[in-house]
Amino acid sequence: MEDYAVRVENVSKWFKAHEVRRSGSFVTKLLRKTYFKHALRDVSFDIKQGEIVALLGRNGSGKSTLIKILSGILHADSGKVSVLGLEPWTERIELAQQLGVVLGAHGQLFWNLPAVDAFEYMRGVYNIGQEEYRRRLRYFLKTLDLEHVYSRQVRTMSLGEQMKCNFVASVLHNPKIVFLDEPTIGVDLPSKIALRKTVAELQAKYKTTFILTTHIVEDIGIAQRVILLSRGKMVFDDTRLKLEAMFGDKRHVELHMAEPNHINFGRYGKVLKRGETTVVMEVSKNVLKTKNFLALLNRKEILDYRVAEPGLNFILNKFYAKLDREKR
Amino acid sequence: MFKTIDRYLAVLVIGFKQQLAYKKDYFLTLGFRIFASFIMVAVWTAVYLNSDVTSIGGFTLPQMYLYFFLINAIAISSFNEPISENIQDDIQSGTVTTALVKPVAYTAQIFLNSLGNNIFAGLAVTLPFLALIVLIGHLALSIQAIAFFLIEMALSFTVSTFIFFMIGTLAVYLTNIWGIIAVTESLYMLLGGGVVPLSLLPSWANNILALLPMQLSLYLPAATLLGMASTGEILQSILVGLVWAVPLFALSVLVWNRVRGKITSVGG
Amino acid sequence: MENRLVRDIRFYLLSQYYWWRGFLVYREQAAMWLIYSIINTAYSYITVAVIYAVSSGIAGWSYYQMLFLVSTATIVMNALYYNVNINWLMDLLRRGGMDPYLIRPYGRISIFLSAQEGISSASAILGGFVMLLYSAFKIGFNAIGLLAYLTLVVVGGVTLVLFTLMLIMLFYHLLKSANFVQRLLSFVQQASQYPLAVYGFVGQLIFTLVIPVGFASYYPAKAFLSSISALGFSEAIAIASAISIVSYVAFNKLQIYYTSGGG
Repeated sequence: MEDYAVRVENVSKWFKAHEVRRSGSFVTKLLRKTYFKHALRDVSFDIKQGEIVALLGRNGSGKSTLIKILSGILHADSGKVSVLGLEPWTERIELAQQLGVVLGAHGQLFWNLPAVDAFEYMRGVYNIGQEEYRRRLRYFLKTLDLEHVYSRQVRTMSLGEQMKCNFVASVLHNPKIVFLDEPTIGVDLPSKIALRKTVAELQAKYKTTFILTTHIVEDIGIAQRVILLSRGKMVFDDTRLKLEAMFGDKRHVELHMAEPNHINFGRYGKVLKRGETTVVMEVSKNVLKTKNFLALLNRKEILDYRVAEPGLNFILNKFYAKLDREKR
Repeated sequence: MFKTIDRYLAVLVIGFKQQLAYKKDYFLTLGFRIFASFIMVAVWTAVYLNSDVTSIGGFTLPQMYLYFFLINAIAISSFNEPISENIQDDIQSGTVTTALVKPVAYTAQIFLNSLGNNIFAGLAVTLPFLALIVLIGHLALSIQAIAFFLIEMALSFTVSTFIFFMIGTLAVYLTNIWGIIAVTESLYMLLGGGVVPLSLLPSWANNILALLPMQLSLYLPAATLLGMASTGEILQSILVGLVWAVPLFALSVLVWNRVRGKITSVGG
Repeated sequence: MENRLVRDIRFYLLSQYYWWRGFLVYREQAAMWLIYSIINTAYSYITVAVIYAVSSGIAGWSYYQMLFLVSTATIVMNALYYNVNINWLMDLLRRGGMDPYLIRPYGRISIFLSAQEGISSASAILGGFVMLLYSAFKIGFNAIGLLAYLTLVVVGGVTLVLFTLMLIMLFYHLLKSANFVQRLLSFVQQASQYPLAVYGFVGQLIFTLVIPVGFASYYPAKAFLSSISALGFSEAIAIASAISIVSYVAFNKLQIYYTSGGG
C-alpha cells in the first residue's frame, strides 16, 4: 500500500513572461519579447501519509506553483510527481476526489448565498453521504465556532469567518491530503488558532496529510517538518526544530534603561534595535555567561532585561540573507 | 478664471489621452463595425432584389449601403464611452466619494471625460472612416451639410450624456442596473435609427420620433451627409434637440443633487 | 461507477441550481431580468418586421419563417452566452481564478461551464422561445421536421459551445484578452439572424466551417421548414460533430498553457 502521500522527483517549471507592450498593433503585440521565469528548479522530496509539512518561502519562491502542480492545476515541465500514487496532471479527476485545497478566503463559497449553501453544494459535488455530511458539519461548526455564522451570507462575513467556512467547504469530503495555500493571511487571531487546532485534530484522527504554504511564521507551529524554497530551489528540508536550532546559538537580549545614555553595547554583541531607553541585542550564547556581560546587566543604568531565543521570523530572515550572500 | 478653464481642460485632455492607450481596441472596433455593415449590405441586397424595387423608404440600394456604413462610423465615437456603466462602477466601488472632493465637479468630470474620449474616437477613427465613405460613395458635401452634421453630433452628445448620466445614477438605489442600461441602450439605438433607417417606420412612429431627440445620434447625421434630409427637417430636429437639452440638463442637476445627498449621507 | 458524462452533466446541473439561487437572492434582479426579456425580444424582431412591412422580404422566406429563424438564432446564441460568459471566463483564467474549480473531480468542460454564469443572457432565451412557439404555430409543422430541427439545434449548440471554449483558451494563451472573441461572437450573432444564403457562397462557408453558427440556427431552421434533404441533414450533423471533436481536442491540448496567474 502506498505509504507515501507525495513523491516529487526533480521537478522544474518555468513560465514564459512577456515584456508588456502597451502601444503597438495587434501584430507587434504577438511578436513581443519573451523571457523565461524559472519558478521551480529541480525540486525533490517525499512526504509520508499523515505528515504536516510547512512549505516556506518568500513571494516568488515557487511554493504556490509547487502546490498547483501537486493539485493537477499546473503541469510540471520536467520531473516526476506522484500524489497518493496518482499523477496529478493526467489523473486529475481521480486525485480530486481525495484531495482538498484551501485557496484564498472564499474560493469555494458563493458570494451572495449563506455558507451552508456552499456546504450543501460540496456534498453534492463529492457525493458525501447524508449521515457523514451531518457528522462532519457538526464537528467543524463546533471546533471552528461557526454555529452562528454558517447560515449568513458570505458577503457579510469577516475575513476570518470566510476563511473558516472556506476551509470547511474544502475538507468536507474528508480528503486524504490537504493543501492550504496561505491559509491565515489577514485572519484574526482566534480564527487562526481554531484553524491550526482543527488541522492538528484531523491529522491525529484520520492521518490526513497536510501541506501548508505560508510566510507567516506562527503557522509553522503545527508542522513537524519544514521545506524552504528560495527562488525555485529547495534549500531546506528538515524538522522545524532543526530550523530553529540553525541560528540557535544566538540569544536576543532586550535591555530597558532609566534614561538615554551612551553605553557602547556593540562590545557585547550586535545591536539590532536602539531606542531612547531600550536596546535589543543579538548575543552569542557563551557571551551571556561571561563576567563582562554580567557586569553590564548589573550596571545601575539597566533597569530590567529579558533574554529570549530568536523568533522563527528572525531565523528565516537570517537564512534568506545567508542565501542572498551565497548567490553573489 | 483661467485656472478654472485649465482644470476643466485637463480633464478633457486626460479623457483624450486615455484613449491613446487603447489604440488597438479601436482597430478591432472599426473592423467589426465594417463587418456589421456588410451584414446589412447582404441582407438589404437580398431584400431589394426580391422586391424588385429601386427605392424603399426613400433609400435606393446604394444609399442603403451607405446609410449603414455611415451610422457605424458615427457610432464608433458617439456610442464610445459607456457612461452609465462607469457611473455604476464608481458608485458601487465607492470611488465616487473621492471624485466628489476633486476641484472639478463630478458631473463635469463625466461630461468632459466622455467628450475627450469621443473627440479622440471621432478624430482617430470616425473621421477617416467617414472620409472614406464619402469618397467611395461619391457623396457631394456642402459646407452647410458639414456644419449641420457637426451641430447634430454636438447636440446628440449633449442630450445622450444627460440621459445616460441619469440612468447611471440609478445605481445608488438599485444594486444592479445592467438590465436598465441594456434596455436604454437598445431603445436609444432603435429610436436613433441604428437598427433600420427611421424613414422605413410607419408614419405614426415617425411623427413621435420627430418630437424626440434620439434621431440626432445616428439617423439625422447620416441623412445629412447623404443629402437626403431637407434643411427644414434638419432645422426642426436641431430645434427639438435644443428644446430637450434644457429640461434634460435641469433634470440631471436635480437628480444629481438628490443622489449626491444620498451618497454623502450614507457615508459613501 | 457512474459514466463520466453522466457525472459531468449532474455536476453541471447542480452548479446551475446554485448559480440561480445566488441570482434570485436579489429580487429586483429577477424583475429586471423579466423586463429585459420582453424588451429584448421585441428588439430582435424589429428589423425583420420592418423589412416585411415595406417589402416582399427575403427570397424563399416568408415573414413567419424569418421570425422562426430569428428566434432560433436568438435562443441558440443566448444559450451559448448563458453557458459561456466570455469576459468572466477570461478573467478567471487570467488571475488564476480557475484553480478552486479545477480541483473538483469532474471533466474540464463541465468545470469551465460551471465556474461562471450568464444568467442575464437567459432572459433573451425566454422571449425567444415565446416567439419561436408563435412563429412555429403560424407556420404549422410536421413531426419529422421538428425532430430534425431539435437534433440539429442540440448538435449545433454543443458545437458552438465547444468551439467558443476552444477560442477562449486560444486567445487566453495568445493575448490574455477576450476582446476579439467577444466582438466576433457579437458579429456572428447578428449574422446568424438572417438566412446564410444572403451572404453568398463564401459567406455561407465562413459561417459554417470557420465559425460553426450555421449548424445551430440556419440549418435547423431549414430542417424544420422541410427544405433540407436527408443528405444535407446528415452532412450537417457529420460536419458539426467533426468540428465539435476538433474543438474538444484542441481545448484540452490548450489546457497546458494555463499559468494560474503566474508568468
